Amino acid sequence: MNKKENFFKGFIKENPIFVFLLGMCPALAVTGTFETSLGMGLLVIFVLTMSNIVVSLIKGFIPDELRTPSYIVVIATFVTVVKMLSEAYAVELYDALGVFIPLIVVNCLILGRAEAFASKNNVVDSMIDGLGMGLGFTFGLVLIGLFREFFATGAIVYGEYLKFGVDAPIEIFNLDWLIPVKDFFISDYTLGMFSLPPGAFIALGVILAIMQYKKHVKTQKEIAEKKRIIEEKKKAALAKKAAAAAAKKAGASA
Amino acid sequence: MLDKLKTALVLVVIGAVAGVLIWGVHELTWETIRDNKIAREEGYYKEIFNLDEEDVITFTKTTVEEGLIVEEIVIYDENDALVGVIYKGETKNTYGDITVLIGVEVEGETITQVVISSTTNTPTFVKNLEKERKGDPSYLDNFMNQSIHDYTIDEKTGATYSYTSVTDMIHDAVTIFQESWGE
Repeated sequence: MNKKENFFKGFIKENPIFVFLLGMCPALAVTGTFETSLGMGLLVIFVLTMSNIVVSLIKGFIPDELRTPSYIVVIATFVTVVKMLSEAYAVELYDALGVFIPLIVVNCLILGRAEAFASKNNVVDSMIDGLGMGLGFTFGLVLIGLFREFFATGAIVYGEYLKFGVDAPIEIFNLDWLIPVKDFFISDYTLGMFSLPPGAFIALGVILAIMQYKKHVKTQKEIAEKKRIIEEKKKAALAKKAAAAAAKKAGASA
Repeated sequence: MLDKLKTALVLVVIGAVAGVLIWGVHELTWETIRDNKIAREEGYYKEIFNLDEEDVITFTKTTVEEGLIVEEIVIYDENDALVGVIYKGETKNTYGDITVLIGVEVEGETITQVVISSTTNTPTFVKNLEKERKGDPSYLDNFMNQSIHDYTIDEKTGATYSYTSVTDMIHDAVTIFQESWGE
């Protein structure tokens, strides 16, 4: 696997959320909005990349029986670091994610990559793997967050928790913009359930179903294509055989 | 024996390096974290009583455990004159945590302002309470300058858990104020 494939595999082909169903706790708990999903994703990218780098660096010194506790200490250290940094420089995000920041320690994606990849590969490859998988995880969270926030509120807001680039919260999209009727607010008619835990399961289920459907369609197309090629080859072989038989017959009659 | 020592040494080294890193980041951030907390809360105190950022205030805090109200904060100006009272309410609803500050002017017995100081509730539901509704004042602004004896609640705002939590806290704050400060 080259570096490019190593980086991009986490986005779709080996997406931690949609393919391996890893990190389900944050995927269900903090994806109430697009912004909290993005915030959690950014924190996971940092922790995953840094822990992969460190695990890859120290893998030669760690006795086998100490692998898991050592990796947990490394991951917990980086989680504590991001917790303090977010409390200092992104207070709103820290408040919004609450207990789910410390819980990154037990995110099975991070320990899984440390054990399955970083402990067996060099630093550069481990860093690329951490970054790619982290971005794939963030993509998954953001997709669920967008889905849930849109159906729950009819709008997508940025700037409430992540203040980077904006002074005050802005609406990226609001269905009210498309319906300029006085005393009509789309938020009065949306499916508020999607901001609650059942909505998280439904949203994840719907997205997984769509992805599985697309995968199924692709597989069916590949099977149909293979069948077509086999049929063509059969036809060509039969035609060749018929031609050979005709030539033989013609030769015999002559 | 040597293997066990090596194992212990590896753990000690990893723990020590982790500790040093955490200590370093703590040294870097603790003042900012402390300042953030103080600034955010004091900023709201001034905002509630329409004071400027440059105004100097002092305050005393008393723990209250009645309904959803957890703290009573009495605000004084730089001459130690009473500015007003703020009630801090905290609760956890289905959307998450919500903390609300309710300011009351003692002399006129009016609600000066209601502010959601921190929350993990769904932003759009919180925003619905804070934003104007096409010309009408927001749900929170509707309380401004209303008498604590006869205040009305905007019932047009959608019924959400955030709405119910804030409404309950206002009722509790008014009840406590009447018990402690009412004539």
